[in-house]
Amino acid sequence: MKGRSFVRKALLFVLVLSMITSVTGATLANGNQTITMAMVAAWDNLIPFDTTSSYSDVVLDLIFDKLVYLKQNGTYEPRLATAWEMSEDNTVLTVTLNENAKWHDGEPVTAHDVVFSMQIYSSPTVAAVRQNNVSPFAGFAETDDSIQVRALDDHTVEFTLAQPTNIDFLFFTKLRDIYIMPKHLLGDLPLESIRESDYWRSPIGSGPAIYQSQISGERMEFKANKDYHVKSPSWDRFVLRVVATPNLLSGLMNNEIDVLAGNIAALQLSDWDMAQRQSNLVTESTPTVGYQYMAINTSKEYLTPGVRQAINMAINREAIVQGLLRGQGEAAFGPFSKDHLYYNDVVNVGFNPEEAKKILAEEGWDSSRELIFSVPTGNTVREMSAVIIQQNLLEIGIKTRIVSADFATHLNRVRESNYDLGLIGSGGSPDPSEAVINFKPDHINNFAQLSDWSIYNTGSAGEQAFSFEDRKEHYDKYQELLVEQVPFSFLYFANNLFAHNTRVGNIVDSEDYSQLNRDVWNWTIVK
Amino acid sequence: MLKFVGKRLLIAIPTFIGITILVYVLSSLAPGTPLEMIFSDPHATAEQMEVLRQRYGLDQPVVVQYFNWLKQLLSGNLGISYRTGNLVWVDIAERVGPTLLLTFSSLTFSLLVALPLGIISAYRPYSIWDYISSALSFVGAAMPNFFAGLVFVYLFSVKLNIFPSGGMYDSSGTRSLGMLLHHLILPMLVLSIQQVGSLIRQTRGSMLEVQQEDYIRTARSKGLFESVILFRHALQNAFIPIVTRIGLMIPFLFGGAVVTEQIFAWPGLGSLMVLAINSRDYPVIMGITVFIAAAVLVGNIVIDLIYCLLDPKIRYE
Repeated sequence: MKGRSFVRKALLFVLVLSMITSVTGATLANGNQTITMAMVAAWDNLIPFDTTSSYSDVVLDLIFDKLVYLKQNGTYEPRLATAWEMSEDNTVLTVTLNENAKWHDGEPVTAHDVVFSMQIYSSPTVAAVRQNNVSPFAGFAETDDSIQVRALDDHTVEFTLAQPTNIDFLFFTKLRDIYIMPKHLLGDLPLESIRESDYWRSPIGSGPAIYQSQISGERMEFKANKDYHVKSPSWDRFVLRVVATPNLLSGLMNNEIDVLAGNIAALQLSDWDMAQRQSNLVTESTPTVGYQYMAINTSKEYLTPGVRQAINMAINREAIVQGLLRGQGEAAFGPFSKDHLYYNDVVNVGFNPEEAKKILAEEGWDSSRELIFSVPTGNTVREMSAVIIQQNLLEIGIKTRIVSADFATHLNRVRESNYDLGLIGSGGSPDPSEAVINFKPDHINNFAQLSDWSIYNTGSAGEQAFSFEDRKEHYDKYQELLVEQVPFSFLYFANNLFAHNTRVGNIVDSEDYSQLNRDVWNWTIVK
Repeated sequence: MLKFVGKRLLIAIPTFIGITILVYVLSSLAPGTPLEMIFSDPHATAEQMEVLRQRYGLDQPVVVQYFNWLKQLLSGNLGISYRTGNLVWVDIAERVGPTLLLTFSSLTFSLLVALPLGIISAYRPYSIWDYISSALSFVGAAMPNFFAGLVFVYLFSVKLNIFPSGGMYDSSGTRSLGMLLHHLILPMLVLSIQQVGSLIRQTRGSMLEVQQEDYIRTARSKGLFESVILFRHALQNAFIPIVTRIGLMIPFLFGGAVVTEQIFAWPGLGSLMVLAINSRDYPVIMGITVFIAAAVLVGNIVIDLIYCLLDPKIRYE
């Protein structure tokens, strides 16, 4: 009896404590017009040209504007740009800017801001981390202002390309991460010390949200840019919070979070059934263009093209999709999913361990050899898929030793060629050129250590092809080469397990999150 | 006393330098550099990596890098974070407040709960209170932080909906002390749970041992009140091993806070350390190491001084 009374008293104490602190906390003040979005890790900095973090991109996409809004179906819509036109010879892109666009301090956004931003990205003095995003333009990185981008008038910009280039490739692969910065606030700063400006601690942009404050690593708060030129947001405030993955569902269930930041804050599979049962949540399992693959070290003489082909057809991808992803995904045989415009069914080698064994026998595979299988930690499904792959390979007579490490260690190991097989992921893209750079023999992300240029040359030729038919021809050939040479064995496309609270509406483009842009100006608060 | 403090401080200096060497070398020996993460982007080139490698001095031998860092430290500069581009001390200063709030509230809570329970357990051994506190202490000491965190979130946040599942404030736009405390309670309880467990056992054991001593029997035979015997004679003597235990808790609290801060998105040094390690941000790793090492070394000296106050037999020569 005494014990029960103690437990009762303890619970009562906790309840009273909760009531006192929550009442004094005034949790409901202003709550109705605020949208809270969650992501699972913090941003690193607010300098658009000096980060490659997807988490920083979430913040930057709210504060700054980009030229266009990218959609997963391969189309794009006006954002800062209202119109764009490529010259007949595909060497000059002319972009018309929205005349109503204003910086958060009320100054107009002009073509000179776009030119200034492109110069910052390209400048050898600045040496931006994202410098290479503007590499297709003539005069790139020769001097601080050599890039051939010029203002024709206050609202028209002309981009001159170094060679004829496909416009979809430009927007999806190169300009996706280019944010427009204000010349009137940054233009007078010396380029060598531009990073040190106080401006970056409280940046003024022209995006849909105006920066207000942050608690480092916990949240960033914004107010709506009611003058946003695409559409005035109907909400008043926007709060971006960092929430640990296991707490995403609990935060949604108790209304602390309104919406997840898409593929960088997806629900765990183990939470998915429970999420679907919640009456206050809208859930959506969205196919994405992002994929996982296993890089195969082509520089190892024992991993011949034949052996790589055998490995590729020995992997039971359906077992991974059904067993680990519980059907929330699709088997990947190449960088494009089956409903991608550029998919070529030639890549579909199926699951054929018998054929794989035959090929291995022909190649004279030494079954006593053990391959080093490097697996990065941090993605549970990917880690577990390594065990299935290990078992699949053992069944055809290939022994592997799984070596797990954090991503930085893993990446170093793969880049330095200290591995045989290694798991990696990619965000993918609607544009077929996305993975081509990984097959460039002298590139740092040539994970497969290819020395043969044929895959890269075929894929990059598609960047200079202009009709769908012409591009399709290049990328069909590219996929044929991938399945012949097997530098990567593609594994699966995992769906984005997305959820948002019913109080927030008009979130119709969750699938576009994979392009690191969100049309928050269309989001509404329903109740 | 001053001589003792001076001596301890002198011993602390090589210990501190030893810690920094160890952490610097271990960090540098781990495969991968900050450049791997900065240039995980597919557009990056080897030339860009080389430019940054030179800018950060990562092309120098580890020994040279360490001495450059030490020279910088001695001039009061912890360097610049590779990840954020901020001065390291700015990044640490932003995070130190939440960590101190969490760890010291947890330490206070642990003492407030564990000491009375431990004393009662020892004073009335094998009573219902002893069984309850023993059960609590075993469960607490055996429960890992990450597990306790998830259980607490499920219970108090999802099921009972009385505490938030993470962060320091809600999204209302107002920030009050009450709101902060409301968000602090769950991470503080989780961080305290293991400390409470081990501290109850330590207090109970020490008190039981002291109660067998001759001077306690003498005090009783003199007819002193039980409260005087308990608090003046027994507790003061039992406190020495308890204070040692509290001293050992300080580094553990900072260590435990790494996991707790991650679970509850509490923006302290622990979560900053995880970010820094994942991105191989050496200046931040070293900056946090300097801070924690200094806190622990100073904490140990303070504990030594408390011994002197508790037991007049202890003299510092």
